[in-house]
Formats: sequence, structure tokens, C-alpha cells
Amino acid sequence: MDSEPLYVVVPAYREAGVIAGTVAGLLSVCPNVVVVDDGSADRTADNACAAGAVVVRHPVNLGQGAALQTGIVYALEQGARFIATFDADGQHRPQDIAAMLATLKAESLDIVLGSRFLGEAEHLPSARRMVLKAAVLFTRLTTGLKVTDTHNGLRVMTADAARQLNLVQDRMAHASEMLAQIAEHKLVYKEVPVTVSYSQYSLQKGQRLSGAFRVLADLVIGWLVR
Amino acid sequence: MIKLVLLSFLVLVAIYVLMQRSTSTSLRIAIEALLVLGAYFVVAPEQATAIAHTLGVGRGTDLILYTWIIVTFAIILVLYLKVVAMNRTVTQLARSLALSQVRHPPADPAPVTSAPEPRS
Repeated sequence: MDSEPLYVVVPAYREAGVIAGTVAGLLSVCPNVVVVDDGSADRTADNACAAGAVVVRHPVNLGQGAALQTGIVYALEQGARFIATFDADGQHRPQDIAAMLATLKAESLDIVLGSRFLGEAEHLPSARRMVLKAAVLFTRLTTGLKVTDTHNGLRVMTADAARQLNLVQDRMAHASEMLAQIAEHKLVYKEVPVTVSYSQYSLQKGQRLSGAFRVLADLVIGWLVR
Repeated sequence: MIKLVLLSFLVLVAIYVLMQRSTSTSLRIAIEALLVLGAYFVVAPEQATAIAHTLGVGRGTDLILYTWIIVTFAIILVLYLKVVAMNRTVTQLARSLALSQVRHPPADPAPVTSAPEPRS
């Protein structure tokens, strides 16, 4: 039907309560929704499937980076022409995907990144803001990319760009890793404003300051193992 | 007495290393050489002290302790990097397993109920 199919990849871990709503919202803008259940013990996979998503389920919990990579590999296998990534907890707006895809096509970009700091960050606590800003500074220093929001789960990319990404950081360091690979492969990127709404739920699920140090350690170890 | 205990232990390790056919020959030779050096210091501990003095360390036992700490940290780092590499292998295995068991939605997806389920 669609000659240039778009696949939306949603990494999910223990999101049984909200995943159906997220999937339903996505299906209204795109027929191909892939939920990668990262080994949840709850009904995340069942609820996602019942809501109409294709479900790829890790047998064990590996981390968000691993789930993203699995979803991207699946989408490429299915012949995706464009791939979007989208957080499971409902902090993104599905309609932003359509706008980002239009930008991607219109400007012949490789990847379009969502930025809450260009757009609106609703109810973002100041401590969370500081951690995110520190991550932005770190990314500018290590990759030279002039991005404003390094840890936004909303992205739209071409299949060619997706093929060049190979996320080996299984846990949360994948966001930095993806930007490093964008810089390494000289992918043409653009940040666009998106709205991120912080609910009590998404804040509870989100990363804390201690997570930032874990990410730093993971990145250093990643350089050693490479 | 203690020399006898230490020497018999070193001999046991030496035999064990010799039997490890899977370990590369050069590594086995290196380990055996270290064991011979260790045996030498057990028999003549004053030699270790002499070397320690030339390096500015008070006693031979201190020199061996410092060396041991450095070697231990190196071993921990190497083992940790191996764990990371092994985790990547596990990820690849889990990924290919997951991709071989993809679940497709029912032909007519159930309508989304507005009430969220209780979180487990």
C-alpha cells in the first residue's frame, strides 16, 4: 500500500499500564508500530499486541539501547523506508512524527531529532533540566554536534541512516552513542522542536542523576572494548 | 616449614598450567617463568629485599605486595572488559531469538479501554 513505509519503534519496559494508549495514539498516524518489550515481567507485550502493535520481545531485560537496536533491525528487515523512535511512556505526541517526517523528506536529511528545549518541556523539574543540559554540554565537547537536547526519544530517520547506526550500548548510554555515530558517519541531521509532557508517571520512570554517572562509565568502558 | 608449603603450592600450580593445552604456549611459558621467579624469592627472600632497595622500597615483601596490587587491578579490568564483551554476545543472542518470535496483532485490534490497568 505505502510505497515508502514508515515504522515506529517503541522500546518498552514495564509499561503495561500505558502502552496500549501509546500504541493507539501511534496507530492513528502510522500503521506500522513495533513495540520492543525489553523482557518485562508484566503484561506490556500482551497489551501492546492487543492494541494493534507488532511485538518483538527480548527473552531477558537488556536495556533501552538494545531494545531500540532490535526494533530498528526488525523495521529494516520489513523493508522500512523511514524509521521513527518513540518513548513508550506517553511523553511524546504522535502528531510530531508526521511533521518530522515531512521535514526529513523536504530537506533530504538523514535524521531528524526531537528537541524539548527548542520546543516545549511541560512540567520539567529543574534538577532534571540541569542533568539534561550537562549531557548536552558533554555531547558538544565529545562529538562537536550542536544539538540542544541529547536525550530525546523522538527521532525520525531514513533506512539508510538506520543501517549505519549500530547501537552496542545496551543501557542508557545509547543516546550519546547514537549522536556519536551521527557525527562519525557525517549524517545530515536537524533538530526540530517537539513537545515533551512530563507526567507523574514519566518522571517516575525517568532517569535520575545517578544514571548520568552510569552513562559516563558505560561510555568509557565502551571505548575500551571497541 | 612455610617455604615447603609455598614451594609445594607453586609446584602444583606449575603442573596445572602445564596441563592447560588450550592456553597459548607463550602464555604458559610466561606463567611458568613467573612461578620460577616466585620460587626463587621463596628460597632466597633476601634477593627480593635487595631488588626492593634498588627500587627505593624498604622490604622485599612490600615490593611484592605493591606489585600484587597492580596486577590485581589489571586482572579485574581485563575480566570486566570480558564481561562487557560477553554481554554484547548475550544481546546478539537475545536479539536474534526475539526476532525469530515476533508476535503480530490480532486482525481486529481490541478497542483501548480508557481505564489504565493497575501497575504490578
